[in-house]
Amino acid sequence: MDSEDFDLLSTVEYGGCSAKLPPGELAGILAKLPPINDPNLLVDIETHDDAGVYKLNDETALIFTTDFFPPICSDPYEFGEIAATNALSDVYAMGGTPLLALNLLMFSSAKMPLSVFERILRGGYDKVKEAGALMVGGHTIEDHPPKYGLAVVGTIHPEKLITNAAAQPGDILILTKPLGVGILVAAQRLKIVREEAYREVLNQMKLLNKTARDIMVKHGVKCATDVTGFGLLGHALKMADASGVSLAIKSRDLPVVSQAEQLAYDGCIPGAAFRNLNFVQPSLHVAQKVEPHLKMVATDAQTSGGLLICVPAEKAQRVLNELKSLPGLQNSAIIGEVLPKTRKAIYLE
Amino acid sequence: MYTIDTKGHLCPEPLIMASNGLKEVKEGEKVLIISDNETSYQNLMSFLTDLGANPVASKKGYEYHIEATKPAKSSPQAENNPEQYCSVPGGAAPATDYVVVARSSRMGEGDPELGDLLVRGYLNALKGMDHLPTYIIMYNGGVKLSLEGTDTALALGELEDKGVSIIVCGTCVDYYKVKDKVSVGRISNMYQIATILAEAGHVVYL
Repeated sequence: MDSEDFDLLSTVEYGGCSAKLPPGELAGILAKLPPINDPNLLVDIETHDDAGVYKLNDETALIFTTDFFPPICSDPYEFGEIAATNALSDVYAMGGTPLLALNLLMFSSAKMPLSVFERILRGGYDKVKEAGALMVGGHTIEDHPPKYGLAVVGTIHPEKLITNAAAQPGDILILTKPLGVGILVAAQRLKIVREEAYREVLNQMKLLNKTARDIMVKHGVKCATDVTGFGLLGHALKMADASGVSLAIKSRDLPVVSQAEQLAYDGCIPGAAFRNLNFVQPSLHVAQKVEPHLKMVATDAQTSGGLLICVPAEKAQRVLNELKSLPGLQNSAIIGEVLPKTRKAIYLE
Repeated sequence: MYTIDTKGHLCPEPLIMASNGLKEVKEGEKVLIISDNETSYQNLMSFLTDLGANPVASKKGYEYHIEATKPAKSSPQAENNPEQYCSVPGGAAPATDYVVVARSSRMGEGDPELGDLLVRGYLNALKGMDHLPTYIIMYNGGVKLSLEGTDTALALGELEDKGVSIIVCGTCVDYYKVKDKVSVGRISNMYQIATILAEAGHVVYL
């Protein structure tokens, strides 16, 4: 058998960022590690941000991050592209430029043809190249099902750093990629999704957040995060807590990939969405008029999702228009606003 | 009873099977959904509650048996406003939704001390009611009910946890310079307040 026939999705129950540990449990374990205090550490795990950031000097800080997961799609080359795009995204979410990348690959040569191995790495290599970074090595161990991702080092000027801890009441929230990736991937496994809708999702996952980063940098954005395994509401909660604000999110304004709304309505809701809902529930108020399936779209785990960006109100429309003019980002939308902190971190309306 | 056996299926399949099964019976009729997986069972309960199907579960050995009721179809009013229909918890809540407006920090006109007592009594009574408002809107002096350290804010918090959306007038908290002290509710603008009032079944002014 060669890589043309091998369906990577057949190796896994949960793929992509759906395979994350439950966010609540993870936070509990991380809290037990001793805190690290270093004056040059600009961002650590305390704010649950996208990456660690270390200031080298007044001109340069390093952004250091990693991400890897089991297959999210059937084709090995596309899986490599998506996993790499997802890993690079943490650097873009902080406003940075990827510099170096290492492959992290778990793969069983006994269970899968070596050509699959090669195709996964090729997909990752091509995305790292597209990002303008250098692939400088990596590490592979025997394991099944396969997992792939990158460790990435990026750079940024310390004063231009974008974090999830700088949201200001009055800011407008913009989301750059539509939600529903987890729902569509689950539907694909059950063969209840149209080919073109699934294709749309694959293309979206392969889209680097680089161009959206460029718009953020151009407009001096201070606060953003990327939306991945914890779903929109999970990552929004981390932003609200880190920034000391509350967020209002309009369920009807959420951009959603084709077919995902109907699928969620019909019960095609992956388990990860319920895990994420349990995590945000204590901090979430859902207005009675919110349609329940949209609440589940808002907690659906995204793989290689878009950026959630905070923009001062007076710039919001201009930033949105510029994002929408970019290839693949035409569905960018204003989804809510930042409020002063009250007892609930997120108001879903 | 119409039975949906989801044993051996992993999420999201049990949810899809339950959703399809409910299409096979008439409104008000019950279905039995069987699950052998703790996570699927919990997700089914959450999904069926959202559908308004009033799920009731029992454990039989290693199996979970869930009885769910097909919710009544939308009323003509709800046809025009599907959002409203989808949101009625349990499908059996009274048809008229209503909004409570606190125009000042007291209830009624007359003696201020009495007005203070009355508003506390009202919020506490509301907590025990089955038919809760969709929104409680506070404007002008009413925003003082939401400030930290007040017992009214605690009562409003309990109502918020029961699904009542608490709306606090942003212009008003700015005017009274208490924005940093608001502890409960979504600080909002006049556009949202006007929209809620326009769409309300009826409005109760305190």
